[in-house]
Amino acid sequence: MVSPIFALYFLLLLLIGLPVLFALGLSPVIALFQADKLLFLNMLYQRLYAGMDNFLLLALPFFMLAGEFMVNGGITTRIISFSQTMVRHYRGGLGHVVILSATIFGALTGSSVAATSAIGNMMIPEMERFKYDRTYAAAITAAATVLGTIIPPSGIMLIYAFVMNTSVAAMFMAGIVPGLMLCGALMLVNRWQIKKYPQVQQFDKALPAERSAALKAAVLPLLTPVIILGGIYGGIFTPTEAAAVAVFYAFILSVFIMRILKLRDVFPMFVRIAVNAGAILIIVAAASGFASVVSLSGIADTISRFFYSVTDNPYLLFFIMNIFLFFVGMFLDAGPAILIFAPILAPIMTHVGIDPVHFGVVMVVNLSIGLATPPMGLVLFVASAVSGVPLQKISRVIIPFLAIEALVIFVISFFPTLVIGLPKLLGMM
Amino acid sequence: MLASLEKGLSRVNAPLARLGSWIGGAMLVAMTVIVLLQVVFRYLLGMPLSWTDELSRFLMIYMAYLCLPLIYLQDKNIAMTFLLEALKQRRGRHLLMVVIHILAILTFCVWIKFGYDFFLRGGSRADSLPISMRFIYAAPPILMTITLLSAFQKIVAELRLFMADAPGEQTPAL
Amino acid sequence: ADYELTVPHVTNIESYNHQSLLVFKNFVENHSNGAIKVNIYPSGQLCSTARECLSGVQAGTFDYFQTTIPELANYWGPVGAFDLPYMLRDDRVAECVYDNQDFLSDVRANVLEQTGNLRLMMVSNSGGWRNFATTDKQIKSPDDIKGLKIRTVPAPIQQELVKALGGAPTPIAWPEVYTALSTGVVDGTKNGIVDITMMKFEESLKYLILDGHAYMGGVWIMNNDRFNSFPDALKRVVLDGVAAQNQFLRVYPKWKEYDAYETFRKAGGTIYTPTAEEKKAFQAATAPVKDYFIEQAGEDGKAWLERFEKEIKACEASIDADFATASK
Ligand code: NA
Ligand code: NA
Repeated sequence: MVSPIFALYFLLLLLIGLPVLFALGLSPVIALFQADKLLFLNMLYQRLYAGMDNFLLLALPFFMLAGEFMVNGGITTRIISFSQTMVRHYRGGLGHVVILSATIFGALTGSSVAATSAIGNMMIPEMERFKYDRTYAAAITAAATVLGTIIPPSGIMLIYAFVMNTSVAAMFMAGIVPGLMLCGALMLVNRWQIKKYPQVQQFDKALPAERSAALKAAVLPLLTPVIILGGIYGGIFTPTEAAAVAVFYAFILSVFIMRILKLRDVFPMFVRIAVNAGAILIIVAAASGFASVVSLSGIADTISRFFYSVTDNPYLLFFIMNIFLFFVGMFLDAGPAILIFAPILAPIMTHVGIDPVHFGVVMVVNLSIGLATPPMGLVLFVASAVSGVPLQKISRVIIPFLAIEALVIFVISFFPTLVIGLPKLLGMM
Repeated sequence: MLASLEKGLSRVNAPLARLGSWIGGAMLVAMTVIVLLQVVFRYLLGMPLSWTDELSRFLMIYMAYLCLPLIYLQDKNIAMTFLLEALKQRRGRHLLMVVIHILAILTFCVWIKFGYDFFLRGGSRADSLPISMRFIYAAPPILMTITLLSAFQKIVAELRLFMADAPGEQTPAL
Repeated sequence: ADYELTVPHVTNIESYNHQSLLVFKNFVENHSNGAIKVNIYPSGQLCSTARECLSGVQAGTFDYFQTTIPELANYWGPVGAFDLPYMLRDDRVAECVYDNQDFLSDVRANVLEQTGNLRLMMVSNSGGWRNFATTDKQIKSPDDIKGLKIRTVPAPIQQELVKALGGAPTPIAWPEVYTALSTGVVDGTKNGIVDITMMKFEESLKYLILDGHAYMGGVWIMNNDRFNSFPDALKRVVLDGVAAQNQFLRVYPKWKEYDAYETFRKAGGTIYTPTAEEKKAFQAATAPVKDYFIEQAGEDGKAWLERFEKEIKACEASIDADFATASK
């Protein structure tokens, strides 16, 4: 039998600094050697191959590309200006601007990190200029840009749909309400926290003319989610195709209509995304292999027996699982975490009557927030790099934001309608 | 001697990696066009194409593996770097990096061996394209083998820095 | 246990494949008195597609797996003949043909020759018969399919079938079919009723025609070396276990269909059984699929098509003779 201990090898290899890809690849190899199950090395490799051979996953590079066009196409500026005219006049206005921009960005791209650096690069200096604390600016940017993978489109929702065989379209629609709830919740916390910084500058409400000018400048990029979700809902294309349409739209927008990019800038962007997407896809593939050796080791049974031994009450199970996932998110990137844990945890939840799409969205929200939790969080790293504020300082200031996000996780866990109500209404599940 | 070996390896690796990423980028362009083509043919012309799904998947697999040498050379693999950062001012950091690259090479060797076996078993036909699956199964082992060269270059570079007693210095990527 | 069988499958534990494997497991473990242990890994834990799982069986990592006829045709082309439309009349004929051990062993020999290590154990059933089901329009004749986008698996024969009827075969990944039907990306599917209600497609699919264009043969494959490693007594146990599993798989759709049709009707669906004339029209319209197959599979394919037809005729004759005797 393959010993479950190999999960520890994985952690050990990670800790010495071996890239995630090789830690995922090597630890199951060691486990199979120890168990004298060398024949299963064939399976490990096959999973590496098949873990990438899926049409759904095509959306991953496509949404990354669309995001790249948006960031390089100068669209960031327009979205931030638009957000400013909408919310700058409230208390803690620039904080609200970051949150609203991150929400809109979330609807344009499938990942968080691109939004963190794009919004952070523009807004952190801007906030500092108007007497906001730099650490606070970095914390709010990190806390808000995790919406990138919660509001559709979302790369990690794709990964969940891919491992659990659920509908991407349903997952996407199910992410909208939780995303908007998080947006509102973050604004509340900003409003409350800003009392600690009485020195920040207050802005006037934008005039209608100013608002409509900003809206006019931003309207074409703002149409992206309408095209993506409307096209899926209208039966024009599937989610993967929607991603390619988003690329096409962003390309036309930035090169021909807004003319912010030159045609010769375009191919290097494709090359850059091919490399970045390649790195992620190979990790997805390696994690599939890792997950299959987890199955062989029987860890899954142990974990589900553990959960059932505690309770079979769906609410309580959801509660424990959320805490468990929050810890996982502290140490593990969202993609691999879903690939490894979704096949173990989702069946436990569906067994007690929780819809797999509902559980999937809760898992995605939880692990997305994990991108902004220390010690291991890509969004946090980028926020720290962009702002120049050390990780530890941001980690302290971000706590109230993380706390409200955790609260939202519990709310959407216990009220399924908030999650699967919309896709059901639209006939997607 | 290490310096000239590193230079020699880099003279092979850098252009190979760049070429790979260019072809990968071109494949990404092709994937986008193919998927859009399917939308046009199905929705506008009412004549869905049967081969777009499979072809775009195959292109994606090639794209990812063609970029692998560059990913390795530019350290684009995500890693937890606490320990490495703690060792920043120490020579030992370079030895740890050597160990890390050796572990990566070991992983590649296992994958290449079983990737080759998988390739040998791959005599079946693709679902909708008139080709043997071998054409696709070949990509990972071949490109991982090429990536091994990049890993060797990295080891040589770390050893050179270790010998030169240069603690803070970063290894040049390309 | 002296022998452990690793059996992966790609469906969940409520599925008929998993349930049938429990029949197999129970039979084999008990009758071998524990000498053989069967480990079932559901839900694609070890491999996620038929191609991947079969490659694992070839390598000896996995021991036993269910695939389909179109998938097997990717390894050995002529077997695609068995998937041609409107060949098998009904369950009795299909079961008679696939129970013919002379026929089956000839197929087995060819598959083994092509793949080295894939041993055909049985052709059972996987969810009944494929029928056309549509969202907006009742199909009664081939003309009704003209211009409809029908979701089809990517296998060439199934695609040619839809094309021959004037429809547009549309490949959609299985988890997206529900949404594709409800949003109108496609106008219909061709699945068995059991699969339709399992996926809740009846919420969009409102019209079903029981044309039964394809018998969904479930092809069970074992690693040949593994099978040959058993002593004769255990080989017997394994084959008896396969037979017990086969009974379950063949009964399942017959038993489940009642519920499934009820569910379909309750959701507002109409079920139409074509007349003999109408069915003839479908057969005539899909004749080009046969030509397409022969063109692709060559002489060997043609010979196997003829063999298949011969076996079908023999079975039909024997069943008709049984009828004559029984109704005397
Ligand atoms: Na998003
Ligand atoms: Na984290």
